[in-house]
Amino acid sequence: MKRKTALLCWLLCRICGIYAQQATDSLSVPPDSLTKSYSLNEIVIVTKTSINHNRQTKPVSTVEEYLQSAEKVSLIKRGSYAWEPTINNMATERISVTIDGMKIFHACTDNMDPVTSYVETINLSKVKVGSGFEVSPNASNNIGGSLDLQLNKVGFCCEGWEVNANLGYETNGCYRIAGADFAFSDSAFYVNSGFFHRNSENYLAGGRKEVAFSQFTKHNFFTNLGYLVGKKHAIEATLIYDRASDVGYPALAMDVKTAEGLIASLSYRRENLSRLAARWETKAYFNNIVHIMDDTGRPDAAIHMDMPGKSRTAGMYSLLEGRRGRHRYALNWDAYYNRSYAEMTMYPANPAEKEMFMLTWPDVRTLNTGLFAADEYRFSEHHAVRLSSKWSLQRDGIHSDFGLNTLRIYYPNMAAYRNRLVGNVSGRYQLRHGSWEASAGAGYGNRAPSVSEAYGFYLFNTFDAYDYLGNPQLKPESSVEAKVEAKWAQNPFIVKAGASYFYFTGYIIGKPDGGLSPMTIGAAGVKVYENLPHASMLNANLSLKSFFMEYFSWHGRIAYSRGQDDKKGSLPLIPPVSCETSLALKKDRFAAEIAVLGASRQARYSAEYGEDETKGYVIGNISAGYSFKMRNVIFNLKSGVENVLDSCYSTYADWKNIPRKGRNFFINIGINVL
Amino acid sequence: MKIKNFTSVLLWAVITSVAIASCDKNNDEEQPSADPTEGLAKIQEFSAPESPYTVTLYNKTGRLQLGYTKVYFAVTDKDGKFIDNATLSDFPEMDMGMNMKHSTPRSAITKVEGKALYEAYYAFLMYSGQGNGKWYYDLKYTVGNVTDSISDAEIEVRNVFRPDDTTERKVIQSVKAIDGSEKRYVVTLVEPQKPQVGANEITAYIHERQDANTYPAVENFTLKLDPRMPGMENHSSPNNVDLTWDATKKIYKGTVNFSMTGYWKLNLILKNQEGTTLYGNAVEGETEASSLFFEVEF
Repeated sequence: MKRKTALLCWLLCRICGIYAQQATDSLSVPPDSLTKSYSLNEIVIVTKTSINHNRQTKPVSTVEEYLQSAEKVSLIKRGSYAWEPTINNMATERISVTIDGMKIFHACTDNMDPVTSYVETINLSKVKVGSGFEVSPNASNNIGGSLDLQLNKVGFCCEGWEVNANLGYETNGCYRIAGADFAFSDSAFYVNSGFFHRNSENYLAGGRKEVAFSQFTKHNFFTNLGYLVGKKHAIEATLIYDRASDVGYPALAMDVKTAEGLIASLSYRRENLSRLAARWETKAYFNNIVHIMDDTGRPDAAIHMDMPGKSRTAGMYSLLEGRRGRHRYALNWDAYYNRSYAEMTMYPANPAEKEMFMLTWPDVRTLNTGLFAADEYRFSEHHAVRLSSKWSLQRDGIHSDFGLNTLRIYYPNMAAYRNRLVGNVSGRYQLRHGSWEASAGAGYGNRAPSVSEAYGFYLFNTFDAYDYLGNPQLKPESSVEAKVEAKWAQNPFIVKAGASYFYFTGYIIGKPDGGLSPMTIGAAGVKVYENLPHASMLNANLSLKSFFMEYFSWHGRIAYSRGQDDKKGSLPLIPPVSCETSLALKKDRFAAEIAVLGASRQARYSAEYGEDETKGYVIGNISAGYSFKMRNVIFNLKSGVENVLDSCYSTYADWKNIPRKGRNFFINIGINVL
Repeated sequence: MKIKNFTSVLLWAVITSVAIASCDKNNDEEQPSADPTEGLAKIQEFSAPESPYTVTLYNKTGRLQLGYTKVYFAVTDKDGKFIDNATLSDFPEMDMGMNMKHSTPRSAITKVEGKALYEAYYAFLMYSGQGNGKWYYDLKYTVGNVTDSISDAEIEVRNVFRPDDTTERKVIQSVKAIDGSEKRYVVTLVEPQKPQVGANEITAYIHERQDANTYPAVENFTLKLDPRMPGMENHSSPNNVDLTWDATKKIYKGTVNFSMTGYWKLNLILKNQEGTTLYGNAVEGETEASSLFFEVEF
């Protein structure tokens, strides 16, 4: 709640463009009604462009904890590390995640490393959440939405030095957090750099039951550099190195030895290029992810296996933004090349026997290049229309002969490569009148199958205990989206309601193939990805906020979702009715919050996809924070209790019903030296 | 001017590349090899006393082994000249002592088309030393009006192992039909010799054992195929093709698919023309393997 209040304040006092931009100032956009209307759903999480994590309940939270507060974002948990974000209840395959516009793809065939796990909040200034086809110029193959994790570049604006340190400790799991960073900037040069460390032992679920294999360690290092040539040409570079090690996944059969990500970019930016182009940025980037699984710690492993995965992406984009008259527009060209490779070596119980080797991602190469265009036209103070479209050509296929020969067992006539055209077109009408804001939008788009869906080979899913086989003959999945949103704000109330509906054609999902023999020991069978004729998804939410007695605010939210396949059966990982409510106090440098979260029983679960009924739950959190200044040092203290009643619960999004953290006391100290 | 330059460069590039390409083509043309045994490894030399000719046994590996072994014979005169109009016949025999002797299924020795070389295959039922036995070899060859023969030359047939070099690998099986006919058959795996992940051609021979020394090839039977990985809860692969008689190549042929490397058991069911099961059983339920199977490990 406090966070949201802060966010709102931030939005009111700072201008935010269609595309969040650092140098907004240079655009000198007046704070008009239209841009503010974007607060409805697009810019969900914002921090100051410089480093300040103190607006969050937990200033040293992970990116996933951070994302949790976003309205349309949920997180699938397989342990206490690397949660998988979903938008509109659609996971990795149906959303696009970019880091400052850079494409990056996970390297684990079992989704143990969503790309959000390779960055830290300290690396980021904000996360832009787009619902459906909207917003992100560099997104592609997105149906459910897009996340753009925007980097924390200090910029050329601020003069001088700034040093920050953050320390955190949580009792549950003996979780230790430490980070430090510095920033230096003047009008022609900036650098900011930092380091972050996390280490947690196994956590305790409610009732003080230890969840084995839930430990993790993480290190993160980042540097951003910027140099202004002749006051007009900005050259910027970013380097992030992130390494997680000894990560346990209680919901899976394996853990992770190391997950390493190297993210690098070099960009050229030009502000005020011409009357038509207010901003032009071209960036070249490269990222390399290496993910090494490890089952040597598992006493019950039926067979020991090595499963390394690699994902390497190089790409480029060139984005032009401008405004003229009543138009605000953006044009973008992007291209990327990804190589996804994963192998599996199994060591038989009989050591004399040869090890078994296969490629689970057979060196899949994807080349994608696309054009994006968007325009927002403001008819008047009250009405605006926004249209955007992106179309990409994608060529993907199998580079490895070994892998191709393997998949040809199942698809004798398959071609090594195939070309696809993927894209979307969407439009939105916005109205703002008095206390009312409303918008209605519609879009159509499609996506290519993901690497696993098209080319994955015998990927075991612990959720439903099936081996999954990719299908290179899948057709693109397409979706029509319709959404409406309304907001009424009149002191002291803010009421928001929204709904979105997706109708899919060719929805991609795995279906059992009784003719195939499973490979994983103990697997129930083999599922092959196929296109369902149709499926649908509905998400609706209502939230209410009220301010009273000067220092208090109250927030309540209820959300409903429904996902159905072509036979009216439930789609997996769709939440039941969920609510949250919180009461916050903020007076001067003191802030406190009591929050209650809960969900109803998940009655509409999908047994076919391994789900079972999840019980309803209610948990409570309490937190308090105080900040004070001593000379030029600002101290921020935050502490609180999560899951106060120590309930043992799990949600629809917990893989194999792994229980969540029990009672947890946390304390964070932020030190900011100006 | 610029365009003109560019055109000249382009022309130069085209001419050069054509020239280079044609050079390559010349280089690629192989000179016909004078030695027909090139690329083959010698196994053993046979020469009858006083004979003007020597017969040398070759194959790709330089050794005879249990199960299917393909061999080549080269007949040379005293000057080392390769003779291309010889006729050869042979008789391998296993002697296990106590008057227990038998031969093994094999083909006739025939001329290799276009080469001064002769070919044959054996389906060795036993390896040298098995049951304390030894293999002896009789060979008769005729060049023009000269006929010579060798008898009881000892040959070495090696056992076939799995990659650990100690466990025997099943590549041939001698069975007694379970249809009541009491007939005996020998089923021999030929390909894949170098298995790969993906689709592999699988070939086999079926011979009927009429007596210890007579093993005619049997045509038009079927070998139903079910490849499994015992180490992976009997994982199997789809789209395998049963082995059926290929009248042109005179061999049983099918397709075996390996979804990964490792140890595979190729379970088989032997059926006659009428589809009656002669040997082997389906892998289902508690039955983890057929009584008729081959092993492949890579």
